[in-house]
Amino acid sequence: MATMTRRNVLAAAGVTTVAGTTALLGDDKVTKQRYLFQNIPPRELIRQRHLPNVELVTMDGQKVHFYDDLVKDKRVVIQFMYTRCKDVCPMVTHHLVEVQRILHDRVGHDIFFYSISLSPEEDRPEDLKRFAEEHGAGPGWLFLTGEPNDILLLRKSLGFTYDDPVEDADRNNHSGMLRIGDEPLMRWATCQGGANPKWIASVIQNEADAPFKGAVNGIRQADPAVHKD
Amino acid sequence: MQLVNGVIQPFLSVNKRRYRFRVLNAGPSRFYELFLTDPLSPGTVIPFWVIANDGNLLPTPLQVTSFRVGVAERYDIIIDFNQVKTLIGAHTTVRLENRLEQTDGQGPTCNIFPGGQGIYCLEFRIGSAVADGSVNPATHPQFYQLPSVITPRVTRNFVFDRSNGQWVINDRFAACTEMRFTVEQNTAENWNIINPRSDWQHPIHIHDEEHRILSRSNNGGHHSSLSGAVSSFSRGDCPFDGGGAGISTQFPGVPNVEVSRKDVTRLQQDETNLLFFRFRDFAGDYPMHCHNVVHEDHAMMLAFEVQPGVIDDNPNP
Repeated sequence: MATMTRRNVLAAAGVTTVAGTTALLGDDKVTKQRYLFQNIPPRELIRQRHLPNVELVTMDGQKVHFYDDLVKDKRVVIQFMYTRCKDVCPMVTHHLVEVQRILHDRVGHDIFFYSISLSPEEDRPEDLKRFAEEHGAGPGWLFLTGEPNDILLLRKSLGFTYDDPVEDADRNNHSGMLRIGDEPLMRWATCQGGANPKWIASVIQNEADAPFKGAVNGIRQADPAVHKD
Repeated sequence: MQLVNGVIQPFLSVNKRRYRFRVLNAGPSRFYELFLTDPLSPGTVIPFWVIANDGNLLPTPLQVTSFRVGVAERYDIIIDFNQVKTLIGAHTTVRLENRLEQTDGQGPTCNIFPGGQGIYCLEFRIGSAVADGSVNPATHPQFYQLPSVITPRVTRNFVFDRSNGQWVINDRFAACTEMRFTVEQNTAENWNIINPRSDWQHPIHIHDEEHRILSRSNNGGHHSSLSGAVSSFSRGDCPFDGGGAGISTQFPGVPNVEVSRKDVTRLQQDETNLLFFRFRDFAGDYPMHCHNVVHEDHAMMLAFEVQPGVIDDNPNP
């Protein structure tokens, strides 16, 4: 038997993890990008695991890539919803409208809102556009749909998932939570979308501003997510 | 990786006498059931003593072979290494071993591993005989008389659940600026903390006053509360069996090692725990939350206040 080196052990562990992931997603015919542990910086590992660069379509029909176009170098708030949803999605969307009002012109400037359809089969870009207009979503907030398998991968990668397949299949179980992220710092958090909008806004502001409140040796830290252009 | 006081594969050299240890579960999500194991003879049953729970002395020491500890709970134990040495013969080490199987963040399965097949946490290396002037717990010293249980002014219910992918208490989210209810200072209250689900367990931590567990009862849940269907991830009901010290005859379903004042209570699957409080010294604002740190970070929490002369009878705040 070959000597078990540390590298062998790590490689074997990597294979096991991929096999486990495939089994989890097997029924959904989704394959997750294989990742290896060697020589990958931790930040890149998070990107590969959790921020797949799938192609999505905006409510204006524009094709975008999730990581390259929507997340890279940005602060984001991500919601999953679907337009025919009766209770929880309209409520959370309404809360986000209120949050957008509180955050004022930061939305679209250094904080971006994304609402991704949980029913990509039925939600066409024009349906999302109507939903956005009906709720009064402002600029800096994109509603997105795409290929069902891509959206499934995206949902699971972002952590909107249940172990129990019965609960995982219920779309309403994924529409209450908000994912809040700061890609330049790779800080990711969640917040309850059903909570008080003032509370949601304070969580978002805290995630966005806390790392830059202090100064190191009298020098204030530059904010990598504020674009000067 | 299992650490004790920040150390991997830790050991402690001890003499043949009694030692008192305080065991704190400082992990994020794991529940432990700790046994003493002779690694060279893992079938040997090694008893020891529990004397305090969450920092509060029990009325009298209780001999156990194991105890179950959720996140943030504390158990004070006495191990008599002189006695242990006579049990393990020529061997010189015993280990604190977690035999409770837990394969994900939801909570333990019903499986207790056989000795030696769990996870070793800490090794004791037993040295020479020394004089021991400490009290022998086997003489059943009386430590403490528990305060009396009186009729509560009000009984409140708190259902710890999941809704739309988020943690809720009584179907509501945390808002740390909002006080859910007001306790009248210098009164007694009963709180039912309720887990309707058969998958998750929650160690519930209540700030300000300590409580006592009056009963642990199975509420026949067995469902995921959202769909009403039987969860395919049901763990079954496998409450802690008392670790050899038995279940209280006075407080139904409550292991004797939990008949004490407490501030964290493990809310097991499909379970309703009746807690008794006397709110006395301090007025002010306090939280109640799940101490599974991941749940806590995701705001499985509420805030309440204690004020003199304020009457709030809301049973489901």
